[in-house]
Amino acid sequence: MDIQRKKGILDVCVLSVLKKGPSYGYLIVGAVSECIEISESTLYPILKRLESSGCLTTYKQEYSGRLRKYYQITQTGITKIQEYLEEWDEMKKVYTFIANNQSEVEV
Amino acid sequence: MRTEEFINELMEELKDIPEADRSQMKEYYEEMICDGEENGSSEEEIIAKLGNPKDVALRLRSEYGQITRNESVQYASAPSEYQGSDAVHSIRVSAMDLAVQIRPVPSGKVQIHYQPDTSVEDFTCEEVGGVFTVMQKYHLMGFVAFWWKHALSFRRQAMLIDVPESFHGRIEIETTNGKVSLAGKLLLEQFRVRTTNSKMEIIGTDSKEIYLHTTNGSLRLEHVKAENVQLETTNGRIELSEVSCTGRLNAKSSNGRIEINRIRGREVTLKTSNGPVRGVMEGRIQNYSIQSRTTNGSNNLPRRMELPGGPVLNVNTTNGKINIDFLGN
Repeated sequence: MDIQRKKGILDVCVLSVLKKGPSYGYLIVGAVSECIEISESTLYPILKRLESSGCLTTYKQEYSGRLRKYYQITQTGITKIQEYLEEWDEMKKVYTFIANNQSEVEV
Repeated sequence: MRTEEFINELMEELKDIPEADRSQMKEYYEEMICDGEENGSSEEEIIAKLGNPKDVALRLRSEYGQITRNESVQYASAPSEYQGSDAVHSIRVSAMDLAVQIRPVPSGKVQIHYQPDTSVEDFTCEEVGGVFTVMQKYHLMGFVAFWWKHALSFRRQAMLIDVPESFHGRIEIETTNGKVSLAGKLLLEQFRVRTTNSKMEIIGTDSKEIYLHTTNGSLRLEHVKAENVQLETTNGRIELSEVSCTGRLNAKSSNGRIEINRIRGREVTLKTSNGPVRGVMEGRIQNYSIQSRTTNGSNNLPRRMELPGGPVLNVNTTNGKINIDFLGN
């Protein structure tokens, strides 16, 4: 898959995981890996990017004697998922168009 | 490897990154390891999965440039940005192993975004008499540095240059092993680029003179107006779409095809070997003086057609077809 496109998709995948509720790094990697390959080191810049663009916020909470960092989706993040889904509806039309043309052109 | 060892090595690799960012990266990986353990993996397993600290550092570093770029307001004082004055009329870049992206911006000043890796390279940026010069090269220990960087490297560094639309001067870039691209509306006097082992791309810009030279990479021009264009590559294709020249348009490759779509020029020369030349010229075939030649391939153009005073089209290949149509007036 094209790297730029994969990046965009990963951003939305991470957001969609957070939409179910706040989560932390290790669990996010696990959840996203169910559908697309992602490593711990790939996730870090994604989280930073989403944070700096206001799609998520972070907070720390004590867990078994230490502080764990949690990521929480914001309204901007939720809007971003919606935009992606709407965009996908448009893209689907284009894919169908391309696929249909393929079958008609067969000689 | 133990957690402490992993973290220490990682921090050592990232020591030139500002402390605030570095400690966040540290915290992230420490937490990743703790959480992994609590979810049933062993310390060893998790660290093995994270990968070698050097690779992790390289990945973080390559992304880091992009993160700081997006947060340019926050990082405005960091030494990763260099700005020219309003008097800049020429931009000269000389670099190694570096991709260069020119980004037209509606207003503002010429600005370079780049995070030099001072452990292996010298980086200078200066403006003298309107000439903005950027130099990046390896230290005296260049060879060792070069080897070091490449042995480890997926460090695909890139330099981003913001050029305001009000800039109408010259841009000269010399680099190696890195792609050079320019997408957006600029009106330039001259755009002159040399690189190696990489492709080049210009989209939507007009320049009086355009000169692009690369090896082992493709060249692509789209929606470009110019007086003269000179393109040269080896082992790469050349794609020209809606390119219009009032003077010479010279495209030369070897082992690559040449594809054209609605191009126009006073004197057009398309030359390659081991590849076809095909596509659409703008204008009527009757108005052109044509010389064409291929061996081992079909040719739909006249071999030789003289028409004094008209535009000239020269097409030359070996081991490839020539198939060019004409469209419009």
